[in-house]
Amino acid sequence: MNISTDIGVWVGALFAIAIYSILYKDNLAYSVVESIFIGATTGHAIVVGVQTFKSTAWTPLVGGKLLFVVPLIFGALLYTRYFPSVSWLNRWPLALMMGTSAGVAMRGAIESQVVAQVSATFVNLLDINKFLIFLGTVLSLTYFFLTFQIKGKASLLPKIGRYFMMAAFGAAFGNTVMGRISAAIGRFQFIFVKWLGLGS
Amino acid sequence: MHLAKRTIPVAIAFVCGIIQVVDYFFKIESVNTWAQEIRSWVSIVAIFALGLGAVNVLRVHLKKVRQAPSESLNSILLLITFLVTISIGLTAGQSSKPYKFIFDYIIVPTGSAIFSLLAFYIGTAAYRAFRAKNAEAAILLVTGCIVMLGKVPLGEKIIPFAPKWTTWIMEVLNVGGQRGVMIAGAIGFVAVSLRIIIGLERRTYGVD
Repeated sequence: MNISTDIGVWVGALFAIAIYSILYKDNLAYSVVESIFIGATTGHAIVVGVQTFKSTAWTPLVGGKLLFVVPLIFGALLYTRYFPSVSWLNRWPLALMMGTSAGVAMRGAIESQVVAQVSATFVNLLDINKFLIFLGTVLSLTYFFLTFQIKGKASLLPKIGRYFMMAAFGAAFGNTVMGRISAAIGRFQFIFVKWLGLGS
Repeated sequence: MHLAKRTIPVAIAFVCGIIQVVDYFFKIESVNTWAQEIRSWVSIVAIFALGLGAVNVLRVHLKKVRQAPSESLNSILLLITFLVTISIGLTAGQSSKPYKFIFDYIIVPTGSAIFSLLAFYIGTAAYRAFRAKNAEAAILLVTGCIVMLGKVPLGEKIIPFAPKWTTWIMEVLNVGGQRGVMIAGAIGFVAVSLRIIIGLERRTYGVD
């Protein structure tokens, strides 16, 4: 056994153990590390935000792009929520963000999630796998058909569609489980190999 | 006042949204310039929103410390770490040694430990989800188990065909099912986006 002498490795390992201690029961070590983590992460987000602000807003503004005053004013208006008499002013920047995001998301959704998916579905349908993909897509879509209730023998279509979706969810679940387990293995390797020096 | 409180926000959302949509469908250079300009404005306003989050964190935890100082060890630690990280990051820079220490030995390992915690909790969720009570649950169970076994070398020893079947499930059944969900979700998403742009969904920006 060759225990690490690096203070950073000690901190990382002890913090990881404190996090895993929640699996036994809620305790002081877990909540302390959790608070430190939230503080550091929030601080990091602010530091990154300030750097981004400098490069995307401040530098162009100082360089002569006076139109950048608009987002600065709108950004400042977000803070009016702390002053009840003028708190309604924070609707303006929110409207800017929501309107733009809706427009941008709409373009993205139409292009990548509708047109691209539909055109990728109707390809080489004589191939059994491609045909199954086509069938899965169409039948899954019938499950979301809510204009009127599908009755009789046709009600079998959304049912089969649901089976396709359950297969997809099972696959996604299995994938997620394995992803998380590999993250846990990575942490255990850090604790046992890098910190305690076992098996190195 | 009605104009400033209700009409202007609706107009802002409409103009900003419609410019993005028009820019996509009609390639007009001046519209494209404005669409890009507005998108860069939004990313700047989003930074201010991030600051708003930080102010909220400060307010909540300072209130806790003021109300019961002896019972707020966690809030004190959070505030100290928060302020230390910000002051180091803004004065010494993100490539300085102390900042790298915070990032490499506090944020990254603790973050991945928290992320991996779900591996344990997901086990109990799997127990509940994977009980084959009906055909749907049975399909979920079978595909989930095959994919899990197919992703590790041990799985191949237990069921030799697991990796091959995993590939087939991921590339055929998964694609078929997910694609249907994706298209249906996107259609709903487009509908909601349209409602926001034309001012039917005003609550998203605080107007009743």
